[in-house]
Amino acid sequence: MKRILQALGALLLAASVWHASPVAAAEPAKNTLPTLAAPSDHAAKALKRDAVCTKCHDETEAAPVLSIYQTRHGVRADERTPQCQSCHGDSDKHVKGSTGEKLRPPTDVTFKKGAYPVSNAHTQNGQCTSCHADGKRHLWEGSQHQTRDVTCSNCHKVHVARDKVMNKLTQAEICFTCHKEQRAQVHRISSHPIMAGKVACSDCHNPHGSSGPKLVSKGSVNETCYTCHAEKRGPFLWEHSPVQEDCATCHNPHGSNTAPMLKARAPFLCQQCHDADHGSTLRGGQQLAGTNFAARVAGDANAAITSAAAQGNARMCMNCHSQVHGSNHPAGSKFNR
Amino acid sequence: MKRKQTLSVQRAHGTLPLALRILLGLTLPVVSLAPMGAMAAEDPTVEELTTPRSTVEVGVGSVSDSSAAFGQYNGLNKKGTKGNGGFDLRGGGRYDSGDATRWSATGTNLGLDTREMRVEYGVQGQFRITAGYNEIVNNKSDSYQTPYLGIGTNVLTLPTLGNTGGWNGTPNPAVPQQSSNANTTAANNMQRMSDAAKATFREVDLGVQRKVYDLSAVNLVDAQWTVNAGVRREEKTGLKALGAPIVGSKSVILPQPINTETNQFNLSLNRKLDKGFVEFGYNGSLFRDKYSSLTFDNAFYTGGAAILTSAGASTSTSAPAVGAMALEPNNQFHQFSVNGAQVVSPTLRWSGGLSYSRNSQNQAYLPYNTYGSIDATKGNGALPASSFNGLVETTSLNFRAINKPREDLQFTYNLKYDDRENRSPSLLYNYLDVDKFGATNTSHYNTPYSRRTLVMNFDGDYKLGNGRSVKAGVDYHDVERWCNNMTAPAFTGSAPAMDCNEASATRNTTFRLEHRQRVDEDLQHRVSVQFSERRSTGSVNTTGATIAGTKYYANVGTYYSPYQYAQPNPGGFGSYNMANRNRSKLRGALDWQLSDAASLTATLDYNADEYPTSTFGVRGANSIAPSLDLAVTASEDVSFNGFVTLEKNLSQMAGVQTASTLTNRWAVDLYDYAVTSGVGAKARNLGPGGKLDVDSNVVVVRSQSPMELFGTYTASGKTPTEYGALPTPYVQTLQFRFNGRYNIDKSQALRATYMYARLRSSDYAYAGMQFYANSAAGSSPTANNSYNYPGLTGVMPTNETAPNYNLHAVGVYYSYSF
Repeated sequence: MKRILQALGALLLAASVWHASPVAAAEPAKNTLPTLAAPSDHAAKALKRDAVCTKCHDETEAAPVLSIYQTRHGVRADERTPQCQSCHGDSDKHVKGSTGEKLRPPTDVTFKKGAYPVSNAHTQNGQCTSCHADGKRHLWEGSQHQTRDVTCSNCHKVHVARDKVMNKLTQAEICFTCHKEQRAQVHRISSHPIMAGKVACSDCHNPHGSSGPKLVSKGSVNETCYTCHAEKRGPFLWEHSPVQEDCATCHNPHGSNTAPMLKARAPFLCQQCHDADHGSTLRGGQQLAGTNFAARVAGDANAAITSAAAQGNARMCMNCHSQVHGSNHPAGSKFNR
Repeated sequence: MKRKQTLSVQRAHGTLPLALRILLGLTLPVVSLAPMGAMAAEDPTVEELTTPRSTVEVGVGSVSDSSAAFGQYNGLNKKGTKGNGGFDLRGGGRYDSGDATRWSATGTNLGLDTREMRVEYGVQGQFRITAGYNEIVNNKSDSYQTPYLGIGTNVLTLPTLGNTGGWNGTPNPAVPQQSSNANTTAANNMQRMSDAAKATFREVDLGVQRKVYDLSAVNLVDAQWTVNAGVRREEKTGLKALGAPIVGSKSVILPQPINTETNQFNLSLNRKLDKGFVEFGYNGSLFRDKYSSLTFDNAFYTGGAAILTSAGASTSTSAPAVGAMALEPNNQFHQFSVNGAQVVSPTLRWSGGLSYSRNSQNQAYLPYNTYGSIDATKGNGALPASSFNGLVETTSLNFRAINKPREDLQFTYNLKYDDRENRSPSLLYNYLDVDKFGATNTSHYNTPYSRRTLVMNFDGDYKLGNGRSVKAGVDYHDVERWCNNMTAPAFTGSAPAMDCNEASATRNTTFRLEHRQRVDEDLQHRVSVQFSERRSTGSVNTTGATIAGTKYYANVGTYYSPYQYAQPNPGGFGSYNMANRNRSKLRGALDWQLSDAASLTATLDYNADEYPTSTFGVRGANSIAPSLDLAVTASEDVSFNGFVTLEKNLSQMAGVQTASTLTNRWAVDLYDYAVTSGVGAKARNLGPGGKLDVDSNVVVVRSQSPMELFGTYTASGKTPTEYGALPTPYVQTLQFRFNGRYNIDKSQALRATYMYARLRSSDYAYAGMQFYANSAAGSSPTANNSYNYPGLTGVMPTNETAPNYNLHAVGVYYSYSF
């Protein structure tokens, strides 16, 4: 463990030291980073090209344009960063304008609704994926969001210094723009700390595409859950079949009325698969409802005391079968050890 | 109107205070802080727009009451006042300079248990290093009570009671000085707990705190190669409740100590290709649990020696004196992957990946029980192995091709193959259940579940014109299940062929159709329908594979666990996650810009499931969730919004008590209702000088989960015999928030926050957690027993109550920006 950490630390240090010393080169050669050549020159050229746009779209714009220079897209010393035309197109007609018209012709690519009609999703996203196509975005094409014409700009604001969707505290409100049922569920009494800003939607989902179901960030639901719940990974001596197959069989990770984020209350949740032995003797809870238990709970102090079955009360089945995620006890086949 | 400004090339920017520069210089040794104050003259507005702002905020917050439920995740679980603060510092080279250095340091909630800090430094286009620290709390309960001593350790003991009585009404030899106790009421009954025992209960806060450290680096080796590396360490400590059975149908609810660490590593090498990329990756995760077991005193122990006979019986039905639970074992996970994508032609591209992972654990076993091996006369007293030596190998392949033969037509092909091979040994374990004497021993083989999943999708998306699109698709989802390393024992009786799984194969076919239309810039809508059919092979759906009405999945004498121990499910029972199922879905959405000032969004989700071959188990379910959002922009500075979401879920299930005759049938309808609504308002530039910004919102949630129970259920439907409804659990929350920000000047601001939060909840489950209070009919409720219910006989009470709170939280902060 220590050796691995040391090795990784050395790697990180080497990376930073390596790049702390600028490498002088007259021209950027292929396979070298262009910014190492003459960043100042590049910045000047880039800004000159930007100025075609910023001479009009300046600090007086109602929707700030120049604040893009606070973002990674605006670091002009990085030759990879786009100019205005990289995303909006050269827009020659727009730049030249037209006489007699109140409004100039539209830009080649328009992202946000305003004076001009927005470009279609394919065109918009093509501008972004021309650079952002690998890594976590390599499954964007064909993903649920792509095929439903969701655009990058539906979620991202590239001109602002602090993009809401990139911040854990505010990301969810962007996702909830469309995912209304999930918005309701995270307000339930049992949920992940999404509203507290400690878990972001993107901790579990990759909105840019996934090989797993529901755009989960890993290849499967369980693998995604094990990122934070590694103690449930096992493999256990006694595996619970639905647990090792899909955590979402029993849990709704967005929130539930029944803790911990269960899809149904015990004992009924368990009885959806177990109707044998003392699971069946609950008779759907008739022992609870058919006796005076319900009346006592409802406040009828005159109802005679009766004792409910333990498997139908308190922690229900988990009073005893508490290790439902798996047990490593040689006597734990019933998940009670 | 000012029109022009010079975008000159500068070397650096930033006006960091000297102290901060020193701090960053110490903490970021590789940071080259550029000279400060070397900025060229520039329009102040432009300067403001193009220069990252840094902010430091300090303040104080106060909560009017303590509540674990309110403070479950936000760290405000205790009444009182706390200092708090945060910072958001950014700097580096100017955007127009030749310096691509950027750094940031952020911190939030520094005064709370939810503090988080992050530092990032990099030269854009070359490398970036990020380090973070994050605390996450999960306050689970502040009403849990326990008599156990040794909280926080994995050895829990019961306190000495003196000679006033035992834990369950009988003398407890585990506790000194009790031999003279004359209490001879029913043994093993927590309702008979003595007052002395009750007096030892004390409140223990249940909750878990995570401390997460992470360090990652991105290094662009050259224009083609990028290296990503990262480590993440999570330390988790705290307590949670754990049900621990001991002897027959008796249980204590223990404060389980949590003390674990998870170390994760990732390394990836990404190469850009001419029209694609390839990425090689490694992910590792090592989980370590400080405690592999939890030993506890048996509160039901009434004495007696542990003497075994060949039948496994004992002279004492309450022995042994202690029990032991196995906690989560240490485990490892290593995954190697390769991913790639390529644009083959303007009309065809593909992406895919291949991964191989190994998940293993070899934690040493605990003994079968706490008092020694099983009777040697059975010849099986020893464990079959000292540890599990568990290993799961998973191989995954995913492939996607996107074909766009025309601008208005897209085909998407998906294939995913996942092979989970559980290569752990399958051995026979003979033991007495829950350390219990008086029972015959149990023989179980463990079942290393394996499965192979094949998912194929085909989608076609056609743009009809006029903003209309149609999407159609079909999914095929096939799962095969088996168990490796199984040694089939000889069958007894006339049970059908054994299968370790209820469904050896499950095939799910789905057809989807969707229509979208963008009517104009202001109106768009979408509607989709989906039908799927799941069919399983195996005993899960059969009513014929029965013996006297009972389905047998495995050998009757030597059970394969865990699902078919003791008695298998009755014939006609279908486990809901595997049984044959027909599912229908309807989705609709409408986005409508009503005017320049108002917009409306409406959505509808509807699901309906039916289980055509399940006489028992889940027989049907449906849910509907309409939602409506309205946003109004009253002016440039004032806006309002409101929303409401209704949810109704119904699950109908049935069971039978006497499986052999399929009599004593029952049915239950489980409902879940929730109404979530909220309104909010934002206004800025208010007051003299337009220095005040405010926003406020209120969210109200009302949910309840009624249950209707029926008896003498028949396959054709429910009979009028209704057992009645259980008390309906409900949750009602209200949260009102107000935030006000007064901008003193461009650099300084005062921020005030206020929250009123209320929770009302009720759940009959808590009735069973209470002390025994009254036994006579007509007796009055006690203060400690809101349900006036005598708890359970076989489960140690915890006196937990349903969470309720009614509190206020305020905060005042001063922020300085530069």
